[in-house]
Amino acid sequence: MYQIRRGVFETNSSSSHSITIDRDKDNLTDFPKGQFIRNYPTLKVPGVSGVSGVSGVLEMRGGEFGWGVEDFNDFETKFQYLVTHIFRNCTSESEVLSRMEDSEQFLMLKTVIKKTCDLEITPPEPSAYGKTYVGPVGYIDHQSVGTAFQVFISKEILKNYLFNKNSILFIDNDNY
Amino acid sequence: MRGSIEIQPVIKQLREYTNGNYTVKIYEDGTKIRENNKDYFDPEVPESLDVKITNKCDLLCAWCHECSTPYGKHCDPDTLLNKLSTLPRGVEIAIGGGNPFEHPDLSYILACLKHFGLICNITFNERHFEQYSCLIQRFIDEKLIYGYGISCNRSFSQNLHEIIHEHCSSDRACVIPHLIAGINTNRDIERAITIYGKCLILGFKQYGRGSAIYSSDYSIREQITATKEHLAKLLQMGIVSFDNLAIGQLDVKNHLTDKQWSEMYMGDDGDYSIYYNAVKDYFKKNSIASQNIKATDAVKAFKNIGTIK
Repeated sequence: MYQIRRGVFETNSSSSHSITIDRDKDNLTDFPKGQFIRNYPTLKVPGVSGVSGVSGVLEMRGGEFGWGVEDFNDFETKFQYLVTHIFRNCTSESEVLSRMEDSEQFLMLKTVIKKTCDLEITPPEPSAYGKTYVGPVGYIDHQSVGTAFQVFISKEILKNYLFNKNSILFIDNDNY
Repeated sequence: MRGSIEIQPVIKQLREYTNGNYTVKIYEDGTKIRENNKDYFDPEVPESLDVKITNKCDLLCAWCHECSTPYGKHCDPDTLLNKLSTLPRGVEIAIGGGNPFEHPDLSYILACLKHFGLICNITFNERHFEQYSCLIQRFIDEKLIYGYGISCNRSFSQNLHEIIHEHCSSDRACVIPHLIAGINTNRDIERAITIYGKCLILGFKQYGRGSAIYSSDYSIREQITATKEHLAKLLQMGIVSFDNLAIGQLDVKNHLTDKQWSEMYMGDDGDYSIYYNAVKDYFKKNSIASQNIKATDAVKAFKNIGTIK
């Protein structure tokens, strides 16, 4: 059983804060297992219905980072940024699968996501290569490659980067 | 081209303790989580106590259910500390009055409760803020108080937030405005949520002086109805808390799914929280319950209240 009172101390002078309603769930300090999908109904997770899913998978797609001037605080973009960082030099499916086994950063990412929201990270289907951003077409600008290292200092920092909407990924350029 | 990442500080856990068959975790922003692998919670001790330490207050609010006056008495600090000394570390104490700052031993009481490992919060009227701002600053600095409930008046002060920031380094304090259904208007509630991002809506208590004004001032009923009809919009604006009285008066449950209700409803008065009138030294399930309980400490009082429910 799980119950939460969000963001307030008990200050009532006569009876308790009996219910606290926060429509904006993005600033949660923790997620009960299986409730992640419900808290992120817009997350596009293949094979899992938006509201009732209690377990599922999170597909690596990567992305192209480094051309625009944008800020991101949503989970999915921040996740795909790390995927692109970890797999940026892979040129084949076998390399992706191998790195999923060997990369300490990927193992930390996998552990934090599994523990926090009970999702498994899966590689793209083989047929998706060339259509997705993972692998040879994934892109992080060369000046930004080191940026992602700081979030892997600890699991706590990684979790806060991914799930706290106030943790922001800034993509900028120096063409001005 | 370049990228950068800005990571917000992690919300730290203040306390964790076992209470019967479940664990309670409290975070520094006030978030509280109950969790176990069963389908029910069976507490052995109260998770929070609302403690009245004085009946002295100079405001004489017409709706005060505590009937506080400028001549009200204070509690005996040692009796209070003795009653609360058996609580486990992590239990929350909501200090109130009267005006709690009137109590001459407030600092001593807070220091002792901190030594017990209890998490103290305090509620006072916004009109007392400037007068006691130095004391509040010291409480923040010394971590004697975590949560600050500020009772907002009928004419809710828009400047209060600025005054708080001017007088206090409130980044470490968790401030929540208290508003009363029937007294504060929808506009007051909207302003409070806009400024603080959150608010606590209390039900109107037909108790103490509140009983007389409810009978004579029909606008209170009209305002409760207006807030009830406006609730859907208010819930979209930020974090909104309710006490059990407000839940009933405003039909809060109608705005939630069964799943949301089961996750967010923290229980009836007396299930996890009790009230302690330290001025008269008795316990009740809440401040307006009819039955007083005399007990040697808060844990025993909680068990007694459980048996008479």
